[in-house]
Amino acid sequence: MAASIRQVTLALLKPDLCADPLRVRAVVNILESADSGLEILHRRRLLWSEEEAGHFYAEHKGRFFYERLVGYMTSRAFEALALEGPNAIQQWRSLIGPTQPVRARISMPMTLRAMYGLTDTRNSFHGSDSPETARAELALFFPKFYPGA
Amino acid sequence: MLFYVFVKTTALKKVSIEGQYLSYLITRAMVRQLGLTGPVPGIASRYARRQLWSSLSPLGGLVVPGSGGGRALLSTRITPSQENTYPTYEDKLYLWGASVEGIPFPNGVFRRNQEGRPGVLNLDSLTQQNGPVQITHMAAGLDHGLVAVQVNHPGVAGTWDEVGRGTGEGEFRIVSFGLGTDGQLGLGTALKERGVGLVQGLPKDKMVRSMSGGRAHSVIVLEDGLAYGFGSDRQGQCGGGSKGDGRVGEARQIQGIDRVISVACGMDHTVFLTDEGEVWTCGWGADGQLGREMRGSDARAPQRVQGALRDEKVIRISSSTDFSLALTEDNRVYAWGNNEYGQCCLGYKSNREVTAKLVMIEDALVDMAAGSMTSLFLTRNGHLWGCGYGATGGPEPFRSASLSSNARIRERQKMMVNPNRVKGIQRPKHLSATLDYCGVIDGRSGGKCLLVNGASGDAYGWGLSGGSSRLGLGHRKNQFTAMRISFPDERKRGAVQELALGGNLSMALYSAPI
Repeated sequence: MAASIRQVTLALLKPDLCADPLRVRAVVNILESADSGLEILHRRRLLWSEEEAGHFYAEHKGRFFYERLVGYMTSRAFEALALEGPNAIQQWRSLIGPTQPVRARISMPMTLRAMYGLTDTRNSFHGSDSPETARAELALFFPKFYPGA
Repeated sequence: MLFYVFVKTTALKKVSIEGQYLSYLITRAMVRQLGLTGPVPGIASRYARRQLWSSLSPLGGLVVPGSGGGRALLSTRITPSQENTYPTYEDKLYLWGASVEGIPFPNGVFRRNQEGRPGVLNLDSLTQQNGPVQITHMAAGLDHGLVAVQVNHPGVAGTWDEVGRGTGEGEFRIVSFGLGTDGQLGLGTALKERGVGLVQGLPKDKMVRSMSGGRAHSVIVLEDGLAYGFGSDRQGQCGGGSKGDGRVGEARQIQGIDRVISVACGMDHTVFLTDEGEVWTCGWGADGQLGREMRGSDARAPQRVQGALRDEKVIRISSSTDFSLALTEDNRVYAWGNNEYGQCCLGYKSNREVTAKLVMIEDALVDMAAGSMTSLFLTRNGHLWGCGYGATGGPEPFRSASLSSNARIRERQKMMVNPNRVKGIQRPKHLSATLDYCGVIDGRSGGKCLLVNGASGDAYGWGLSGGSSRLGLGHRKNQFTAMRISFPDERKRGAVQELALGGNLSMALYSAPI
């Protein structure tokens, strides 16, 4: 049964969240609590250049929101986390909630984006959406531990 | 008796009259000059207001307008022989929001309200001088607050010279508090956490004309029309020119713009209004925030917006996230920037509006406020309209009782590209909006309140709470209709003079009879 599959996923605490150490601490506390079902394996702080952000969002190049993504992700330092647990990919995505914080605040008020997200652009969190992207993203952020395919 | 009225600070009206005609003539003059149509953001100093009250109350309550564009400073020169026989008022500053937690206020400065309602903030001991201070302006960013005060004020004899500057006896300070990790407090360096202190790097002899706070930056305009920025400059929101990590630790003059009368910070961009009614912008522009076509997504120096707005004389600006509004002298409003929720009030949704377009309200408008996904508009005949994201647009009372919970969520998440009437506030006077949070001052209290600057009375708030007590309403839920904000001291029949709403930190200036 899928519920027992242990996975590792890539989580990002984006720049606006990392601007406030109190919020980072609150999120880490939630992750470290027993009922999150997740464990932090690795944690890393980064500051992206435009090239690095452009590489990560290469698939969106040319879309109207590409500049938003790049501008936002290069605005400040942020944190990457490798999270492990049963169904970690889905578990982390359900903790962070819907993509748009303003919608989350109404439909899923207990999610992280509802509590800490700002706008559609500055939505404060990222989570890999499939085992394939998790592998690729982990390899990008933690090449030492996850050399990739 | 000499009586000075500073209109837009650049146009000084000086009237010298005797006796009771004063109030009548001043009122008429101001009505003629300003139209007396709208609410006016601005705070006269406690001293000035008290004197004004004592001068004018022979004729009963009076609404004193300020300038349309910038904030007005009302100051009086009263001869020492004149007796003050009218009621005096005391200002109280109230503070609330999720980000208040963790600010290292010294003992006795902030009295937190346990229910999550506004708590009293007393700045007297923070300004490095003895005696009470007079609050002249306040502004709130996402997680930080700014309060401009006058210290060592001249007293009853008055020492203002004719251009409205203090002659040396009055000095000015800005107290800042909240999150300081990008230098947005201007304390000299970026902090590791929250802090409280005095903004560094500003001349002390110049009064503040306008202030605003963004997500992680602050901009101050002084009476000489020059603008100063501090905090994050990563996208040029402080006028650019920053080296290294893109943060400005203390107030630094923004080059390339002068004659500024008003400033409004979006989350990561800045909008300026000049005394000629021109709108200039700098900072992040990926969503069209800057109102002009540009190469790349940042502008590291202020430049004028493009398009139809160039032909208009703008008298007021508003911005708090990624779109902006500008009110023209002929009572129309232009909008530009992010329009994904229809918040620009153009009758449709769009990814972004790069140049300003006229909003689709045909009535004459006198005030407006740009929130995050929501805009608010006030018509000359006192109607309040909301546009954009349903939940924070304050539309018709939701039919929540008759809806299933899923349907209720859908109803509340609706986008309203056409304006909807916001009900529940009798005489809306002064609009504020920020990240998912709207506030309106209701001026209905009439003669029982001190009506200075046309905006005072009860304050109402509504919006999304993010699970915190940031709305200041005494609960942690979302609030879908206008609800009165209650202040601990309100039994004294005072009035809210001004609201400064920030995403996670908000303030109100409340005046009550002593």
